[in-house]
This record gives sequence, C-alpha cells and structure tokens, in this order.
Amino acid sequence: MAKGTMKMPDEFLMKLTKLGDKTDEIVSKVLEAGGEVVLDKVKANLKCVIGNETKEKSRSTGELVSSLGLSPTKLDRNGNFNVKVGFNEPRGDGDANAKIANILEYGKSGQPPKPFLKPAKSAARKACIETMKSELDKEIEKL
Amino acid sequence: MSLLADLNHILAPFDIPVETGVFSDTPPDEYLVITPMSDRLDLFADNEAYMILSEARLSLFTKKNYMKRKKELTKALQSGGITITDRQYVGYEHDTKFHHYAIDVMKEYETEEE
Repeated sequence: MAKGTMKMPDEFLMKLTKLGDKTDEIVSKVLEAGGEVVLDKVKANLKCVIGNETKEKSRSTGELVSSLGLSPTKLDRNGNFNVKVGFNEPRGDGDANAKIANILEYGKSGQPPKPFLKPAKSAARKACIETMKSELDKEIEKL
Repeated sequence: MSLLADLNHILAPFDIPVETGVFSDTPPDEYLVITPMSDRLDLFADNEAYMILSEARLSLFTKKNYMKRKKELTKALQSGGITITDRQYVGYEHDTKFHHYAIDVMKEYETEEE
C-alpha cells in the first residue's frame, strides 16, 4: 500500500514553538495596546463632562482625569488575561475617585447623569479590536 | 422614529413622570429620566452608513420598592423591540431617600428611517 508523509516546514514549526513560549508576553502587549485606545476615549469623554452644565461654578481640580489610567495585565480567576481602565486611589481630599466617577456616570436625584464610560466602551470597541489585531500581527511577524 | 420617541411611546402607559436629560419639576416619589448616550453610524457600504445605533440610559428614581417597577419596565422595553444592554441598582440615596436603578438600552435604526 502506498504511504504518504506530510511534514510542516521547519521554519513554521519553529515559529509555532516560539509563539507558544512567548504567549504571555504577546498577550500582555496586545491587551495594553487595546486598553490604550479605550483609555484615550474614556479620558476624552471625561474631560467633556467634567464641569459641563453645572449649577454652580465648577470646582474641578483635574484630579479625577489625572487619576484615570490603565492597569498592568493581570490573570483573573478564570485564567484569562485582562487589563482594566480605572482610577487610582485615594484622592488628595480623602474622597474616592471611583465614587465621584460613579456619580458622574449615573447621576443622582437632582443631578443628571453624564455618562462617559458606557459611551466610550461602545465607541471604542471596534477601534480597540482592530488595534489588538494589528498589534498581534506585528508581534507574530517579529517571531 | 428615534430611540427617544420609541422610549416615550413605550413608557407612556406607565403612571410615572418621564423627562429627558434632567427632571425639571419638584421630583415626585417616583420618576424616570432618559439620558441619550450615543448615536453612532454603523454598517457601512459604498461609503455610506446604513444603520444608526442609538443608546440611552433610563434612570429610575423611586421611594417605593423598585423591584416591581424594574420588572415592568424591562418587560415593556423588550416587548417594544428595545435591547437592554445593562441593568444596575446604582444605590440608595440617604439624603433624598430615593432608590436609584439604571437600565441601559439600545436600538438599531436604518438611516432611511430618519
């Protein structure tokens, strides 16, 4: 009986091995590239809503915007890598940035909401995915 | 039609005051505020957008039990063809004694409908 053997090119196999070894490093770079896109959008939205249409003159110190940042890549309990866009704590005045951001985002009785996180999430979704795809391609090319 | 028009139509049968952006009157024991969030163009072909994605946030403020109203609103919104993207109990406001519940909604429209 005729017998055929197919072999993957050595170069391709080497690349696959390298990709396996460098997965954690590449995933981290890709996630951080995507996170930066979302962070920029959140920051732009936040700057627009702070001090906008306030009943009294805005007392904004700029601390909320400057505390906004991107976390390093972390592994969650389900074994997935992720980065988070969020606020550094605490504030200089002892209050919590997350609390102020929540009141801005959802409002309260007598204070209209000024959503900045949710619109940023929807608006940056496609750009974030495209950036992560191109970053992944770049990293694979480097192998 | 627009999302705001659809929402006002869906919420009209409820015996609850609804306003867009900010509630201007003295607030009653229960009221709703609609906040438009985004109005993006999508589904591009031949350099034209064929869909509009509209998103809004419904903020329910009530001094009563919010559970029943939450269920009624969810059912009405879904029956009216609105997609609910998020629901969240924001918290109890100790100063005003209001429960605050947020429902984020979204609907797609064809650009020709505008």
